[in-house]
Amino acid sequence: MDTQDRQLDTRIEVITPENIAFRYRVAGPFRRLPAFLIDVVIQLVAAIIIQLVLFFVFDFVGLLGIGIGLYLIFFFILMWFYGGLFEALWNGQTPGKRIMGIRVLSIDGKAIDAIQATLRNVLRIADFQPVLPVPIGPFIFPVPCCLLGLVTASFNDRFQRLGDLACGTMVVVESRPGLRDVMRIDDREALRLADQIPAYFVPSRTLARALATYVGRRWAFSPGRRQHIASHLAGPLYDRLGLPPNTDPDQLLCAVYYRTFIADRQEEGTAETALPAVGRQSGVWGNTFDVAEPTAMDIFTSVNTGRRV
Amino acid sequence: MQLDRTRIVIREREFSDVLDLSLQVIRRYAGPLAIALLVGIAPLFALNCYLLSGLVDPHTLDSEGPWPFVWMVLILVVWEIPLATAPATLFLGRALFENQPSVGKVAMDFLKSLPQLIIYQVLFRALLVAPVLPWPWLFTQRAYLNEVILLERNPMFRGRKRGPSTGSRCQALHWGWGGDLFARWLGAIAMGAVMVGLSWSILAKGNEALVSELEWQSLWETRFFHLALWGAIGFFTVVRFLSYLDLRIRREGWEVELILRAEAARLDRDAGLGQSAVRRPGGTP
Repeated sequence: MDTQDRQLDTRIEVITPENIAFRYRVAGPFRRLPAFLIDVVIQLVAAIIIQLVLFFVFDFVGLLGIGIGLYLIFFFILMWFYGGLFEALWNGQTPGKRIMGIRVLSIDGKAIDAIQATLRNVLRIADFQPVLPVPIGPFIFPVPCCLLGLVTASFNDRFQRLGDLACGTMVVVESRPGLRDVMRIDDREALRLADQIPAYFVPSRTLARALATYVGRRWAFSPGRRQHIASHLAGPLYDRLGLPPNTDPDQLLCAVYYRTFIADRQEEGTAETALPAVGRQSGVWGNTFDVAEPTAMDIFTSVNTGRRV
Repeated sequence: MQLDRTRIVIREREFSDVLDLSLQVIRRYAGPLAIALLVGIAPLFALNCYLLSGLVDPHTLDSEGPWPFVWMVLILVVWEIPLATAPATLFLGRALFENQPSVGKVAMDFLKSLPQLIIYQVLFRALLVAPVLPWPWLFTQRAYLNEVILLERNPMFRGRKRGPSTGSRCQALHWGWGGDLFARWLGAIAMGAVMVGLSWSILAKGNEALVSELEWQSLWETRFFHLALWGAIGFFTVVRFLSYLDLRIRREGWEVELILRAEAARLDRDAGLGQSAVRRPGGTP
């Protein structure tokens, strides 16, 4: 698909050598920022605690100089290898990433190794550039602008900063989307309507997906809003199904959904095709074609009921 | 136009996801967006420079510091945001559905919306911006008023056939979501402040290496603050547009409506062609 035609999204598809496609939600700079800040806080707290312990113990035995030296070594390791160590041991996660539910993966979807984990964290210093000296009181603090990392991450679909590009890694959001079960239809009127639908009725794949999306989300809408949304599709269905045009649109779509996903399958005793995932967008919607009727502005004005949902 | 194949995937998103997606949108539409933002911002940037020219006197800056200037710029810019970002918002609205939005159509949309923009976003907004205290209300309960005016184009006054007015539509859209919108606003302020501060510093430090005279430096730093501020506003124009879509998805199920409308159009088209999207067993799909 042409880059210009591709829909913009933070989801990407990774195809393995076995030709299996996985979909990941990639974590961009703004989703990664809280995880980074949590890790910084953990590093600072650890540095302060270790400093107090080392200084107290070595001062007590009269070897404060050794204590300072050990602390500096510990501080160096903490600042440069904290991320690499955790990501190597925790399968691509630091404590901050684990809390925020993100994970580092190779771009082919595999777990990262220790070299990738270490290198991408060491190279973070490059992503921090430019670093500005900011005077606060008598001290001058180096403040990283992270402009280089932000610009680099913006220029690729996987939001890879320089460290990620060098190591072939990306950060993804951990999510466990499951296929939802078929929605229950309890409305008696909808069930009665379902019996009136002609026996030959088999919806197309796109219609089935539209019905599944609607029924999966309708619980979140007010009755008025349901009527408004359902009326778009109910209109063309009245003629085809031989139903009177004053049939309730919401009940009609529920009835068609019931016939499509519940009644017919109960009769068949088996599901021949996989049910569409309610609420998920696959990006592939079967055979589609251009519809020239509404203009962009008409589409925005489609909600004109003014009802409070 | 295919309603279920929008240029940006329509689905519920968290605020961090909206921010990340904004980067992709800016990358895809960098050129047209920059032009649309420039068209909106350049006249107001010039106006601000003219209005605040008295405050940019290097001696004043040296004695009082930059904060009176910064504060005045901030109030002016908050007032001007809707007007300055209107062309970019209109462009994004069309780019969501169209491959190459035409400049003429965007300009026509702008002209059609101009009366309400002036009344709501210039005159009425001035009364709310000047005293500062109503800012939280403005940015939570009227957060997407600009999108409502520009994209939905409801009538100024409610009518039986014309549907709800802009005011009532805006109220209905934001009602009950104040807490969520307030949290997002605070997040945006924090993020925006960091962005402005860093980009102002980068511009000023870069200039410091090139311009040695102190007076010129002060003068340029004030201009750089303008630039940094408008740059952040440009970014948050995209964020605001995507957040508006997100609110409509969460609140009104807009993505479901688009899918059903696209399917209805398919059924109508099939009916026109004498085909059936409702398959009979054994028949062609």
